[in-house]
Amino acid sequence: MFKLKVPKHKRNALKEQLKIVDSAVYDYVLTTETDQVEAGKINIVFDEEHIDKINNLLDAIVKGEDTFVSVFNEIGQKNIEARLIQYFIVEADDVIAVSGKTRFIVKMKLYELEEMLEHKQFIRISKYAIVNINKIDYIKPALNSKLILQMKNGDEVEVNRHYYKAFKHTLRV
Amino acid sequence: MDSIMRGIEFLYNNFWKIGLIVIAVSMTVYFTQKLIREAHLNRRLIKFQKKMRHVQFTFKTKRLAGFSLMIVLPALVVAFAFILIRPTSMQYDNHITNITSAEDIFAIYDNYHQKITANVFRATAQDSVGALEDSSPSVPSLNIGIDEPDLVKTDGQYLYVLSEDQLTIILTTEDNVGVHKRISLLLNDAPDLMFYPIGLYVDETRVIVVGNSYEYAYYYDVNRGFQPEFGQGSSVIVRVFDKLDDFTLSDEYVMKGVLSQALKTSDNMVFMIKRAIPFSEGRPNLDDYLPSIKINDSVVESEYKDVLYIEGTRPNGFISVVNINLQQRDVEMKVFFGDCNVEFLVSNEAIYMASVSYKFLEASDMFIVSNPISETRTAISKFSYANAKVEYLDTVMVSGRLISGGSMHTSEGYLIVTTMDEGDVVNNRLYILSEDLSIASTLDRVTDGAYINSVYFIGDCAYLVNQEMGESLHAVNLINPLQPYIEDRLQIPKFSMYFHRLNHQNMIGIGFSDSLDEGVIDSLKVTLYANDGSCAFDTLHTDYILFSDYGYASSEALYNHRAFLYSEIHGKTIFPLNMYDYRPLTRHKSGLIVLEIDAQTGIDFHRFIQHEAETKMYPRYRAMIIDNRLFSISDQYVQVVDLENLDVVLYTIKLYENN
Repeated sequence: MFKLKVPKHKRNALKEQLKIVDSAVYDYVLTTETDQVEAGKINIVFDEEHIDKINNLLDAIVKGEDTFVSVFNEIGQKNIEARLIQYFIVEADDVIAVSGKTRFIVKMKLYELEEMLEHKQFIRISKYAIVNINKIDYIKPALNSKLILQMKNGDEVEVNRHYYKAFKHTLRV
Repeated sequence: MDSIMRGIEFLYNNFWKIGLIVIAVSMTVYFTQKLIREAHLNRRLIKFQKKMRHVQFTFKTKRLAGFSLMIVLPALVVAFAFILIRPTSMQYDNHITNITSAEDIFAIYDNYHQKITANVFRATAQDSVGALEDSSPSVPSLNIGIDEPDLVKTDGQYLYVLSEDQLTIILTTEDNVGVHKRISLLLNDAPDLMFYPIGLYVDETRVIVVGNSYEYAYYYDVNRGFQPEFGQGSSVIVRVFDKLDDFTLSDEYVMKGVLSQALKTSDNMVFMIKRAIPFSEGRPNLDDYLPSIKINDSVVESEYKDVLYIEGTRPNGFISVVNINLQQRDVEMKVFFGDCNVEFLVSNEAIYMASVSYKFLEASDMFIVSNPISETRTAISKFSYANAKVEYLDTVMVSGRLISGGSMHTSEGYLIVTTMDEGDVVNNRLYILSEDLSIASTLDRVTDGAYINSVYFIGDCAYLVNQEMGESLHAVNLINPLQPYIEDRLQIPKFSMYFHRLNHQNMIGIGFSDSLDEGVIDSLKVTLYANDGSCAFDTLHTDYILFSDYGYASSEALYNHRAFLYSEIHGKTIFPLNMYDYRPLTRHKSGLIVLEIDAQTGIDFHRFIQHEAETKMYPRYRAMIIDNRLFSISDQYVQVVDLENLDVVLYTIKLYENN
């Protein structure tokens, strides 16, 4: 998403402060020099004294590109940001969205959710589940090319061996 | 193919140990791989989440600790298991360790045999698990000045003759020759003990008889009744007779074991004794085998804390160096636990003890390997016996094993040792050791790879020879012990067995021969050699002693220098001779052969002396010259003849009252 273009001697420090990971594919260029801007990209030129504000701006950019999902529970219907959902799972013909400790029913098919959230860091891990990579707390390899994903809400979901390769590819492993 | 077989052999012999290691290594590798894989996956996850500004990583301390434990634990378990099964290693100080208890002895024995005999495919050829009993002492050195035991001795006044069960004392004055006293040596208080005399010593006030006794047990045979069976028990018995009290028995010393060598200096006697331990019968009570000495009615016992062990020696018994002060009746012992196949050399200043010592591979402590021996050595220990005390001095290791009995010699304070390494190429070495046992010089490859089975030391020369093959005699000049050199390779006639130096110029060799039919031993050969002071010698004359076409001759002088008598004054050479014939009838003759040997005229047969009245089947003969008279001694008779005229028999004496 982001690329940092600053003098070499400042690079590591600024990278740490702005919590930036360089991407090969990026839309935004962050730089302290006006002559480092790139055509065709969204360029942000900043002074080092505004690091905190730049951080807030970057958080807003990331969150602002989020998608909302329509979910239902016993109370009623509501739209929640996809980034807050841990994972989607199919249980007894229903697609359940798990957010924290709360479970919601989703009136969409799993494959529809997969298409809609493809670029939102959601990945299919089995025939019955899609997980939010950002909500994975820890990955535990299991036997027979399987992975156990420990989610941030404490739940554990399993990456089926048929989806193992794709999962690793997504993480660039 | 050989490597594959060795691999299979190693796996079979060490199956569970290898299995344990394989399991431990597999577990370590598996968990290490798992840890690396997990760490890598989660590192990528964190990096991915950082991109999305969603990092909230929590360090999984417990999981990491669990993994680390699973990686390290198998190795720890294996290491612990190996430490538990690892045999207790003895600590050596200059190749020697002190023993403190019977458990130490069993630990040494178990450790040694675990290496040698645990291989189910083959045990090392060098080992003989059972104890070895030596029923006769080795031929002692030819060092001048050492009083050696013999069966016949004289002090000028009496002739002392030792036979199996009797000491006969014969007066030898000019005008009176006859039996003065007969002393029975039978052990009347222990009829099951047979007494075998080794020799006697005579000094101004004492006659000392030394012998071995063997304990017989009896078993019942249905056809033959009770039969004697050789047992494990044997003792060295020393009896001291007082000359001043008409040869009354004054003291008796009994030491358990078998006598290897003995020496006497004025009032002291030193005995080298071996006592085998029957480990092959299980776990014996070692208290019963600790060396002890019975002095008349009292007993002096050794203790475990006094016992030493030499690194790498075969542990099959106790070896003792015992000093007895005949005047004070004091005894002291130096005891070793080790190889009863030990050899001794006695010189004017010291006693040397040599035994085979193996250096083992480190891996053989933990694993059964096909050949656990990395080096065969000879351990040489030195004792002093000055000032009536036996003192252990030091031990040194030299490469190779002693070639044969008689491979050690002393000259001008140096110890000369010949050893053999039987590797791909046979290497016969000569070591010259200083008084402190440091190696002063070495001569390598003395025989250019030829196999040697005998070594003679005569004067300043060492002769290495293969007697069976009749190959070259390799002579090494030791005039300067620090710079020994191979003087010559001499071709000796086949079957030469034993050499005696007659004087500075001449040497005589006695051996078997095939005078009639090549390859068939049928006669005894006597050869006179000339020697110019170097180690080389030239054959001057050869003569053969042949009994008949179908017989052969032999002599005790072939292996025992004390049976050989040479008198330069009288120009006579005398030694025992046994002749056998098988066709048409079996017959034999035993007696003394008298030769006149002269460098100019050669070897002249003079007389064959035989005691016609001797009824024993194969009597043993000896000769003694006293005042121009030749005393010939057989098992039952002593005959005295005039040296100038051997036909004149002056006296014939019966050794036994009822011959």
